[in-house]
Amino acid sequence: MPAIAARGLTRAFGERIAVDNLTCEIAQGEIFGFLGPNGAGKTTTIRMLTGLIAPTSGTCTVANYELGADNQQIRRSVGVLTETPGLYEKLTAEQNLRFYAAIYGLTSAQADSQIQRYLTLMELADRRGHQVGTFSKGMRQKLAIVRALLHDPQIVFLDEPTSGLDPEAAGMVRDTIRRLRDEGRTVFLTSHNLNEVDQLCDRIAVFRERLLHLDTPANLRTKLFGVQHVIELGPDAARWLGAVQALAFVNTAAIDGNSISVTLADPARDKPALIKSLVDAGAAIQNVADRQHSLEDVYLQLIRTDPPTTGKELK
Amino acid sequence: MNNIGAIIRKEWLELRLERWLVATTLLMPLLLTGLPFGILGNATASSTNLGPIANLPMFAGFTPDEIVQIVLLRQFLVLFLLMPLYIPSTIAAHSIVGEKISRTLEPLLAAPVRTSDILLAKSLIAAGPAVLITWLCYGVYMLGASLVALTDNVYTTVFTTAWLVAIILWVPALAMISVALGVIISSRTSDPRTAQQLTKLVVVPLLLLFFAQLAGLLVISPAIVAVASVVLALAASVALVMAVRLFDRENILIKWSSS
Repeated sequence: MPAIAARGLTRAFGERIAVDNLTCEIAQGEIFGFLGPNGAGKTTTIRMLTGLIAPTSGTCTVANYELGADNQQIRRSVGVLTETPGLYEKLTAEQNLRFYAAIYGLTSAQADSQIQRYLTLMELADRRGHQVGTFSKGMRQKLAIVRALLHDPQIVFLDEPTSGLDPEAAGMVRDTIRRLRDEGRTVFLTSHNLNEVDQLCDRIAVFRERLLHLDTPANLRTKLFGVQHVIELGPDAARWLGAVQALAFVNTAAIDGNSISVTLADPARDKPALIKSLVDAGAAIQNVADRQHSLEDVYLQLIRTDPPTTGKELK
Repeated sequence: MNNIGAIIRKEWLELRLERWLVATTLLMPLLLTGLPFGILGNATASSTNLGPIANLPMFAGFTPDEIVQIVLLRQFLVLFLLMPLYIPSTIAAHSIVGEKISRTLEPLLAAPVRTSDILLAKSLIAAGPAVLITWLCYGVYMLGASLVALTDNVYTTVFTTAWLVAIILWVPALAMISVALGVIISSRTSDPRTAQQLTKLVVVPLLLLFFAQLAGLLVISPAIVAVASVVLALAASVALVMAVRLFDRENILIKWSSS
């Protein structure tokens, strides 16, 4: 059973559709990146999946519970890091966590153990007795993550988890997210840090009011850009361009400084043949490397090729 | 019930740390309880123009000084009906709109807690102290009056059983009406000060009652207590139903005006 299975999930606010016909499945133990520009409907989607707002149409199961009918069980099974930390500033870190531990039905002993465990993990244990109002932005964010994990939820929704964190703390959060996956929990992640998404996510969804693309980062790269092989040939690289372009299995070839950049029909089969052809022709190959397009390139390409439908109205 | 208890404990912790809020909330009950005795100390028949009031049949057999005491002590009784309106409005507006502004509501709503539990806990934390403070102040007022009353007859004329029943029954109902209106008003504003100011408008009908009594037009009789108790209970129920309808997850997240 998937952790989340959405079928035609739609949400309209008045005449405007914020989320249009979202259908996808997210596996247990998967880190699922949910990407999209501001105002794309990401928060609305998270609110629907956590039972905070009702879909206008469509159905969904979250942690095997039916959205709408079983919202209380869904809320018990998921942890949510909201867009803003939303902590009680007059209370201490521990008082904040104890409150939520009670809400999630943890016993006093369970609360003690979980609070200690996660505060230590996030390096906040020595600040447990301090008022949250005295915390830095990063410390608040880490404490809000602790709150989301306190009851060991099966599914964790993290909305911009590393926003406002310094690189060290961001790395700590990323390690925590990987640990959640290792424990078999599902992470639904939104982030504008595409490098982070690339490092963490098993699959990504590019979303703007509707699901534009859904695949692994590697597959999206290949679909969009293919695999580019960069063959470094020195200052006379242009001399070999014609020979490369003449090969039947070469899709594209272009001069790139001292190199020729090539895409192939079947890289695993064709790359050795390409190198052999150049060597046989007398080219002095200095280096061969594969060029990875960044996830940012992929994301921008996908967003640009799918124009926004903002203002789409219900028929 | 665990969730309600947890929310009440959290609210109580926060309330205790809001010293300015606690101080301003307690100021009015303290003033209203102590003020009558300050006035009574300086009020005698020779210094007070009783006018036609002294000739009312209900004052037959009382000396002018006794009439002054009865009139003054009665005037302030109505103010004990203001307390359960004033105190919860301040706390409720702070509790609900405050959460909205500090953006703590969404994580709470995302947790497995029913909205009715949130509302009930917040209502109890706002109305409970108001009811207890009012009853306590009324007890102190009765005790103080028993010490300064010129005769037992003055005391029993002011502190009738009807008034006692009214204070016992009306105060919780008025407190719940105030909380419910606080929720309704909070659902339409993002500024706690605006919510508090608007919520305080609920005292206006009580001020009419105050002036009616000042003019000698109203005497709290057992019949009035009975009828008003039913009316207030109905009004509190209607206001709470409206508040519950507005205090809905989706309304809070989407329709409440954002800060």
